[in-house]
Amino acid sequence: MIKRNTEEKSKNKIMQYSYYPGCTLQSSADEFDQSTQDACVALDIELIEIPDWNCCGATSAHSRSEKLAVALSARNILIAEKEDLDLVMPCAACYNRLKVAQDALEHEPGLREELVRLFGIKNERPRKVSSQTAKIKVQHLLEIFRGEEILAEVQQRTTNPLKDLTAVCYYGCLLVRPPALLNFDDPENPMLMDKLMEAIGVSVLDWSYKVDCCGASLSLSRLDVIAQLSGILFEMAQEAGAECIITACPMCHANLDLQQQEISNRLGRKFQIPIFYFTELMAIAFGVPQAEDCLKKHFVDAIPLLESKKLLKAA
Amino acid sequence: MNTNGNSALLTIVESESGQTLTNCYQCQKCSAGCPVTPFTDYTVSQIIRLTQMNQASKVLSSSMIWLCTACGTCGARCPNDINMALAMDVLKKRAVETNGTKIDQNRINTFHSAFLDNIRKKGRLHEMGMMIGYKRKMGELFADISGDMKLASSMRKKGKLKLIGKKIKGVRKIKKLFKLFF
Repeated sequence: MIKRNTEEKSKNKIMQYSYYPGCTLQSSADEFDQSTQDACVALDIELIEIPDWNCCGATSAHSRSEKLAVALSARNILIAEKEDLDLVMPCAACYNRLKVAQDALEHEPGLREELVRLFGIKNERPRKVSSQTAKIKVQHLLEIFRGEEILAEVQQRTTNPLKDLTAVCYYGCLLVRPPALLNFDDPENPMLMDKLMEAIGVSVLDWSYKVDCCGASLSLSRLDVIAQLSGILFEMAQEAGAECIITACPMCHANLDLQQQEISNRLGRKFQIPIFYFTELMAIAFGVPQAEDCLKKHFVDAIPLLESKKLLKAA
Repeated sequence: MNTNGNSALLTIVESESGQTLTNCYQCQKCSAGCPVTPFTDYTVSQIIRLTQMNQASKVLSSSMIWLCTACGTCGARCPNDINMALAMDVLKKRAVETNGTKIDQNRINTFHSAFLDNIRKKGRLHEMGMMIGYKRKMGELFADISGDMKLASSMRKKGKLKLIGKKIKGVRKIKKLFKLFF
């Protein structure tokens, strides 16, 4: 685990990270941001938002200009390097783009110098590492929960175990591919989220659609494609026996939750599958009082399922 | 389309994407795993073969290059380590340059344009502004106005739609990036 600037840290914080929320978490995925903050506070993990961050560029930037895409994400990394803490983000899409940019900063000759000059970002206290080495780690929020030690901590802090809740974990594309660059987990059968959810008591089921694509950013432009690709995820989750799907990506969540009614209409099937962010279930498991507020933002009502299992505090 | 462009397609794609399409021996694992294959004219492995043959007009007018969601499944399973998602980005760019897009593919390209226009202005995405921008570009601002208003109002009620986006302090730097690299 990271332990930097130990003297500046308050004693009860077990971990401290720079935090990159990303644009979606400030609007349509507001509940992902809120539940991330809640879950981390409950675990004494301090997230410090990096100053004046910008959009990572998402799918659109790299579809039109790889250089623009890399430069947009690189600005956030250069800002985070100044803060000198490892950088975490809950959004799978931002994670993917920032990892690509970090790789480019490390390996493309002259790029770092060019962008540092362009942005005018001066790092006053560069760490004593070779310029070819990554200065900070860029991690998805799930990655800080890797390993027995932290999972035991999570289990210990679980006051409201989500027993009887049967779920599948859906990772999608952007956490696992390209595997050589991201090195997140097994690209065909990742287990990081499964293990974390098991630690808070969820009955996690195996299924074969963990890393299949939901249709991603075709949401606005080609909803017919989304309906087919996300539709099969609903079917397969049900076939596996899951009552809900757990995600780590706001784009997947939008396609699966916000569009579920529309997909049902288009396919002539009635789906009613609650879609959770993994952090929302963590906040509930840690007994965070306001955890239920996040669920009110869902389009597919997730509250009845949790109420039927007596997992929510009486209002 | 000029013949120079045609003959150079493979060279351009390989040099700009850093992917060696020449190494493909048509095992077709990419096409088997590709989620959008049912919706496209050519499969991934066909795009590779056509690119090897420098068939620029077919490749650049293909719906595949636009429907590709960059999910990366093809690249993760390729025995020759060809990350086709990167090559697809180069092909999209080339298609825009040569006006090789058809209307139905333009829908996706227009989405990307609306997204990028939006972040250029403030440095962060303002979802509502982006959606309005996209609809306006498509000439569909009022096409499903009651449906759009209904969605917007329920998103607003859930606190998921901000009326005004936040402008970052470094927005001038972002604009400069667009000037330099776009």
